[in-house]
Amino acid sequence: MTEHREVSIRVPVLARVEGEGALDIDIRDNKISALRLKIFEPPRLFEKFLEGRGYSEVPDIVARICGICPVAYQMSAVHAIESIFNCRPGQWVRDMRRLMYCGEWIESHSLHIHLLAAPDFLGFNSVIEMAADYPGEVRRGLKLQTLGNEIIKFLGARSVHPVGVCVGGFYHAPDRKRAKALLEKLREALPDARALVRWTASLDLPDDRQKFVSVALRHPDEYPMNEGRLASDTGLDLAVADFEQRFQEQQAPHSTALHCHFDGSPYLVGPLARLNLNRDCLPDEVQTIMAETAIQWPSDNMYNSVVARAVEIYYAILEAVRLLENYQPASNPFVEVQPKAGTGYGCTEAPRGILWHRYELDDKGHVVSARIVPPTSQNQARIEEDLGASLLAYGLDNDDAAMRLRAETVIRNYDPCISCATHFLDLRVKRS
Amino acid sequence: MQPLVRVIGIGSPFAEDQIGWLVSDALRQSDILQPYLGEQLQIIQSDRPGVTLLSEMEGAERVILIDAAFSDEGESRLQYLTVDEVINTQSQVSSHGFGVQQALALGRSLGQLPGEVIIIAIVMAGPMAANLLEDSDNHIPGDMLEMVEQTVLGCLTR
Repeated sequence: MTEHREVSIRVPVLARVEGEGALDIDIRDNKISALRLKIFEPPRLFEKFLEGRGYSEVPDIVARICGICPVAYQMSAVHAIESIFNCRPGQWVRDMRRLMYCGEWIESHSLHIHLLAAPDFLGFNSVIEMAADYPGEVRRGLKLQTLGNEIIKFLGARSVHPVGVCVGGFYHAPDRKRAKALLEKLREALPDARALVRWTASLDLPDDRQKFVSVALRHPDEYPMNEGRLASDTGLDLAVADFEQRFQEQQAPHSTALHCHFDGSPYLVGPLARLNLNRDCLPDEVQTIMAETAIQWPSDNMYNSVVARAVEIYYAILEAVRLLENYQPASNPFVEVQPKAGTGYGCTEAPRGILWHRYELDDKGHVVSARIVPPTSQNQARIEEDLGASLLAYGLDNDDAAMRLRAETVIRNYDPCISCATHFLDLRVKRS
Repeated sequence: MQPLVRVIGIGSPFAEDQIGWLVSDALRQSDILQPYLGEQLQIIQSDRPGVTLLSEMEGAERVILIDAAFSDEGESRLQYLTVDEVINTQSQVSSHGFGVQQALALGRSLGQLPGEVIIIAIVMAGPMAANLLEDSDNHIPGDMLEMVEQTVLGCLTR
């Protein structure tokens, strides 16, 4: 049992500084001689906050790492902790955790597609400008985002930093009436989701093919969310607990962020990587609509990420319908756990890619150490690689403003947390 | 039928940014407003809503947004703002770069804003901000709360 403590932490109001990124480029003789991307990383601070905390506090603390993907942090955390306690919460919890993840994918991907990515591809500075010419599409996107938030609220009581998740399951099982109402909204949303896939596939996306390694979870029976082994399109098949054997983080000298490499090289995580590796796990309806697009899957064009997100929204709605169709509230929505000492690992598919957690707990279930490797930091090395190739292809003789816009568009394909601001990139070009 | 008035206290759990929630809590306890709660008046709290503010305003004919504002100058005070004033303001603090300003601008662009939107910025300066940090049970000056109450009542009885 966690001992009672009174803790008061006051954080002054700040603008969220993860809206900043800096890119330094050195150009010599019309070639890029150096390229350094800096991204702020909040999860690093949380690794220290967690030390000394009880296991039951971890889900609510890690949910605060990100306002857009709190569920992902909670899921990776509870799976890691439950592995230490040998806890098997059962099928109802498994299904509901998957449902909650569907909600997060839907709201996160919808927000990204409509507020961040689409304005780039349609030539607008913001969704506000875009809405004047594409009101139907923007409204559709907002409806889908709201639907995703409603799924999260169904199980988490609220969509911002939900509070329903606990080690062992959920604090509360929603009633059938609420489930039925949600199911109806999900079914009504299916035509919008299909239309979104077709719309994103019709966007005039740059054709910028590059060689990269896709890494995602792989599960024998389902499109991966909470469970699976680590896989790549180069043949990786690795238990989550062995992540550190092949994936190494190192401090990039120019950045506060840690860069993560797979066998010494950059790699991609996220919707495009997931789709590249797991299309065969998608239901027929989704595979059919994917086949309608002109895109050759697996895709090596990062700009197709926007379509991959739309595909995942469609899949998530179908999956949420499936999970709610025969919903019965569990009389015991969580199982009791017995804390014990040990080290546990959890890896789940956040909207932006695999999110890996490791916790060491003492015999009372207090956190001795925590390590959190978010998808955004895993993509940083790949983003730098992409930027170098993309800007070279774009033309280094373009003016700095044009290059900055291009660079922001490239970075936005990865949907890192920094891409929320329209102009987040402080670009410094040194030419000689 | 009387139009639905919805009060949305916008905030976050962080220090002075709670003020929108605290005011909306106080309004729920108001004797003057009690008779209207339910069909005519809804009072809700919103945690850093971003673009979801639009869905939170949906269905109401008149919306009052209550949010914190900060100033290095002058006294603590209420500032009443129109949608245009908020959209055109130069500085704001928001989460993930999409806050009240952007939500209202998007709503305007989509033709999706309620018939009437009143924004009440609770400008905190000096002692009020410090008092809030020290004692969250005694945080809102009585005259400020009364003014907000009267604004809500005005929307209900017009």
